[in-house]
Order: sequence, then structure tokens, then C-alpha cells
Amino acid sequence: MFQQAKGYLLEYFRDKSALFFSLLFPALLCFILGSMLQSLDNPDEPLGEIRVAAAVETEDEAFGAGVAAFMDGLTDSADVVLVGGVGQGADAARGLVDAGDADAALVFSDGEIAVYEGADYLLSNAVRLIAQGFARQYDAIFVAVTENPESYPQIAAVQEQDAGGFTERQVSGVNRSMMDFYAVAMIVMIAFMGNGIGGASALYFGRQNGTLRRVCASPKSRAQVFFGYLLGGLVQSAVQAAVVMVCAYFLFGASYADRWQDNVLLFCFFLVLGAAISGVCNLVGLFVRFNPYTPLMAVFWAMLYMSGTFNKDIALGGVTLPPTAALEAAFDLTVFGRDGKVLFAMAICAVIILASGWIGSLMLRRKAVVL
Amino acid sequence: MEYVKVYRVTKRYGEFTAVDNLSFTVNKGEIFGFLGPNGAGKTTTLNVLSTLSDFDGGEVEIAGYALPKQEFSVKRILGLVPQEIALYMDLTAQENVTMFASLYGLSGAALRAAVDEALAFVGLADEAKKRVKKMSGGQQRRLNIACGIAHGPELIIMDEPTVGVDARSRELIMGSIRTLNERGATIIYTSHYMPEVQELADRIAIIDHGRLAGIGTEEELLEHVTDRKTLRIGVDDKNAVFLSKGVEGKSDVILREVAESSKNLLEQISRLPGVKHAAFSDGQLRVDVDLTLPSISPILGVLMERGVAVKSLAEEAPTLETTFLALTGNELTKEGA
Repeated sequence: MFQQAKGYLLEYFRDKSALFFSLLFPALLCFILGSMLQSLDNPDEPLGEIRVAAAVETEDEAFGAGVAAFMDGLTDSADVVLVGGVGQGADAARGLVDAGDADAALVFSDGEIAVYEGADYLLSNAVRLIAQGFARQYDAIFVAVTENPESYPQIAAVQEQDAGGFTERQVSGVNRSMMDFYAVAMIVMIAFMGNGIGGASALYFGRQNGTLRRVCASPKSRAQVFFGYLLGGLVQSAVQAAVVMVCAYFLFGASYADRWQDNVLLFCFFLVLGAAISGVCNLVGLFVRFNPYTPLMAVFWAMLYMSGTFNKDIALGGVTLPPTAALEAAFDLTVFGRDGKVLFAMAICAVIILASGWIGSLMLRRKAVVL
Repeated sequence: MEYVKVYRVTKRYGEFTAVDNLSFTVNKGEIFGFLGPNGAGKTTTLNVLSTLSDFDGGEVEIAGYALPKQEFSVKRILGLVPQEIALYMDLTAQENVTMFASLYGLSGAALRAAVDEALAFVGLADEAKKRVKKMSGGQQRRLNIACGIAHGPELIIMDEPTVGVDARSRELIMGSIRTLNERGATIIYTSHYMPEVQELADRIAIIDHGRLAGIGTEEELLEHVTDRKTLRIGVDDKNAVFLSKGVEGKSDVILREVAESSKNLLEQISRLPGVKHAAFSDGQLRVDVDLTLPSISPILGVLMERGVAVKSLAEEAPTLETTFLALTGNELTKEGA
């Protein structure tokens, strides 16, 4: 089985055209199209009203003036509502967040700005990003604290409980860029292109050129034969994900998840995702009577396009396409540090791998398939 | 000792019966030639023997193991050299042989030794690191054999292993088959190329329309032909050269006209009383006639009428080719090989 997988991998990685179209081309296209289209990027839905509680406790006049100007600018926005005025103390501001009357509290003290985030991570994030901008401008120390650390497991490792029930965390300094999104989208794309086309082609050409027949004439069970190809797909996705993650990190500064544990999980997710795609497409290769390369390419491009790989996803009447689900799960992990969707997707992938292995073995036992 | 026993085997694809009640045996240590025209059921039979295909009726036993029940026992002693070049084109010769040999449980030093020996055996030791797609057709054919024999099988099934190879590679392949046999392997061998089968096979089975038309040694098969003799007529006709090389399907207009003319000539001769078959072969006109044919004058008359000069005339003893024709009513190939 390992030799069979090795043969599959060598054949795949030595085929320059397969490498270009399934690995390099999607990567280039993802970055190029992503860069071209990012100006068209708009939020999917408006956040609505953001309630901000603020407390200013500073003796520094210059900083105080800056804070005043900042608050004026902030409240000029129709979407931001100041709750309780700026004259209240830090405890009062935090209390408003505690009570759910404010989405986040900003506490300005000498040279420091602290954001106390509420339970709604989207609204809290918005306030934090605004405050980060101010902190950069005034070179202020920036501290973010949250009362809902579970929504940010990626920063939970550096949390510290304070007396008020808030959890203080150091902002990791990760500045999200579009590259982070492209890098993840790119791996998902390559998983579909590389594993999909590679998996289908391996079985299809195996049938065409007689190598599958030869393998089936050996004393290996049909299940071993099929899982040999699947194992090849698994290793292929591992190589692809590792290469792209490392290259995107060093060459393009993609940061992925904040915690290394989450990055390991992300890698494992890409691995099983690729293997699941391989499994399904192995079945396609076992079934079709024509070269599956072109039709699969078209299907994958369409799915990836509609899934928002290049820009925004296209709603399909409530139908979630596989790449959309994969992207959502990956982004949930990398951006918000939540692993629920990824673990669920991995479980689904595992079921797909086993099911495709079982179906593939049955198909191979129908001996006419290989002749 | 009967090593392979095929008894009343039938294989159907829907309404089409590819193998019909076929029975034969292969003795241990012999080279068994399997002859038949395209679509005769040779490859289907080999697929059954190599466990790749189920069968609808009958019994198959190889080395005492019954198919399909003891399929895995059969697979372990089997080496398959398929008709197509069943190789990974982007892998090297060595990687290909290693991959296929490892499927039979070989590993480590034993695997490396088996791979090196198989490559040396087919004369590809120096090409071990060469990728298959960069090899010549003959080298690929030889590698195809190496992949089927590296694990040291007792029974080797070879489906037209010399198709499309040059004379040197053909000679190498023929030599390697003989050596494998001398080392104790039982070989079942199919070919369109009759001289090859005549040269190699200890016994020959002739199959047509899925049925066994004849089986035995070459001498035994020749005994089937008691009603005819073959005339070889050397003719001064360039058409003969074209036809004997095969012009079917050629697109060249002139060549097609020539072919048409020659075809008409053959048809005219075939219609003569006492003539069983006429064909061009190796630049000669070969005519199978009844032993009782009183005179060959009508044949010569047709040739003269068509302006074809007769250069030589010889009567030939029955050959495997005439036997094949007598048993199946067809030539083995259109080319008359």
C-alpha cells in the first residue's frame, strides 16, 4: 500500500503540467485575483449600531486632546452611539458592558488605551480595531480585555483574570491582512484542484494504461488497492498544505491562526480535507469513461468561484458548497480561534474518506471495472 | 503434470459470449502458445486465468488452487505481462519494478536484489534510472516484462508481449521468455505473430469465437490439415508487396487503388473451383487448394489475364498458418503475419 501510494505521489509530483495546474496556477491566481478584487470587497452585512461606553482618566493634556478629538470623530459616525458620556469612571464604563448596555468600553488613561470587550465578538472587534488605530496614532499602550474569553481561544493562553470579571489579554500584535484570507483560501483551492484532479486522474489513467489491472492482479485485496490510492491522496494533501503554509508564511507574511496549536489543527484539517476530496474523486476516476481532468477543473472552478475563494461568495439559495463550508471552518479557526467548525468538518471528511474507501473497494470487486 | 486446468469455461458480456465452453490444460514447465484472431477470446481467457475477470460457468484450477475461491493463492504465484504498456510513465524503470514487485510482499534487500535482477534480465540494467517516458518502445516492452516477473512467479501470463517492438527487442524478449522457462516458470503466451509461437511454444491452443479450435504440439496441429496443400507463387507484382505489408485502412488514394486491384485478384482466384483461400504473404501469392485439385492452370490463367508475371512456383507442406486457416476459416491477422 505504501509503495503504491509512493508510486502515485511520484507520478503526480513529477508531472509538470499537473503540478502547474493544480498547485502553482491556483496559488498564483488566488493571490493575483485576490489582489485585484479586494477593492471590491464589501462587508456581507452592516454591523448596525455599536454602543460604546468611554472613560477618560488622564492628566496628559496632549493625550487628553487626542482622546477628545478621537471621541468626537467616533461619535460623528451614525453607527456609533456613546453610552453614559465620557465623564464617567472606568468602573462605570465596564459596568455598562457587564450589564449588556454597551458593546464595549474604552478606558483612556495616561498613554494607555484599554478596550473592554463585551459578549458580541463582532461588535467588540469593531471597537477594538477603531481603538487600535487611535493607539497607533498616539503611540499609546494598547490593552484589550474581554469578558467572553471563550470566543477568543487563540488568545486565551495569555489571559489574566481581573477583579471586575473581565479577562485581560495582551493583543498579540497580529495585524490581519487580506493575505491571511488568501492564504487559507489558496490551500482550500489547491486541496480541491490538486487532490480532486490528481485522485480522479490516478484511477482513470490507471484503468486506461493497465497499471490498475496489474495492481489488481497482485495478492492485495481490493480495499488495500483503493486505500493505497487514498493514502497517496492523503500524503499529497499533507505535502501541498505544508508547502503552501510555509511559503505563504515566509514569502507573503500570512499569519494563519494566532496559536501554534490551532495551526497544527488547521494543517490536519487541510490534510483530511484533501484526502476526502481524493477519495471522492478516486471514485469518479473509477467510474468515468472519459478523461475527468477538464470537467472536474470546470466544476471546481465554478464551485470555488461561487464559494468566495476569489472575492465574495454567491448565495445559492441556502445551499452550502463544500469549498464554502471548508473556508468558513478554516476562517473560524484562523480569525476567531474557534475550532468547532473545523472539528466538525474533519469528522465529515473522515466519514467521506471511509465511505469512499468502502464504495471504492466494492467497485473494484466488480472486476469489470478494471478491465 | 497438469498445472493449469480450464474446464468448460464460459464468459459472457451481456448477450455476447466471449468464451464459450472452453477447455484446455497447461502442463507445468511448458510454454503454452495461445493463438487466435482479434476478438477470439484470448485476452478474456487470460483475464480469467489472471484472476482479473470472473467467469459465468465452468472450472479453473491453477497449481491446485480453484478459482475464484482461492484467488489470492493463485495471485501469489502469478506474474502478469499485459498487452498494454502498464507502467507509470513518470517513474524510472527501477521505481516501476520496485513498486510492482513490492505488491508481492518483497521488501528490503530481497526487493532490491529482485529489482536489479529483473532489470538485468531484460537488458535494462543500464537504464534503471531512466524515466519510462524517455525510453524507446522496445525498452518499455521489456520493462513491462520485468515488472511482471521480478517477484519470481511460477506461472507467467504474457499477452502479446512483442507487439510493436523492433527486431532486436523482439529477439531479446524471445530469449528472456526461453530463459524464464528454463528456470522453471510455466508460461502462457499469446501472439498474433505465428513464427514467434511456433518458435517458442511447446504446445499451442487455437481459439476462435471463444471456442477451442485445436490444441497440441505444432506437429499434432499440422495433422489436422489433411485436405489441402499450399501453393506459393512468386509474382512480379508491386501490388503484392503492398498487400503483404498490409494496406487496410490506408488513406493514400493510389495505395488504396492498388489494394483494391489486388483484392479483386485474390477474390477472383478464391472463387476458382478447388481453391480454399488466397492471400499475399511476404511478397508471394499463397493459395490453399484441395489436395484433389486436378490442375493449377486456372490460377495461372487468372494471373496471366491480369498481366501478373509468375516468377516461381512451389508447393508447400502444411504450416501452422494453413492449420490455423483450416481450423478457424480465418487468417490470424489481416497482414497475414
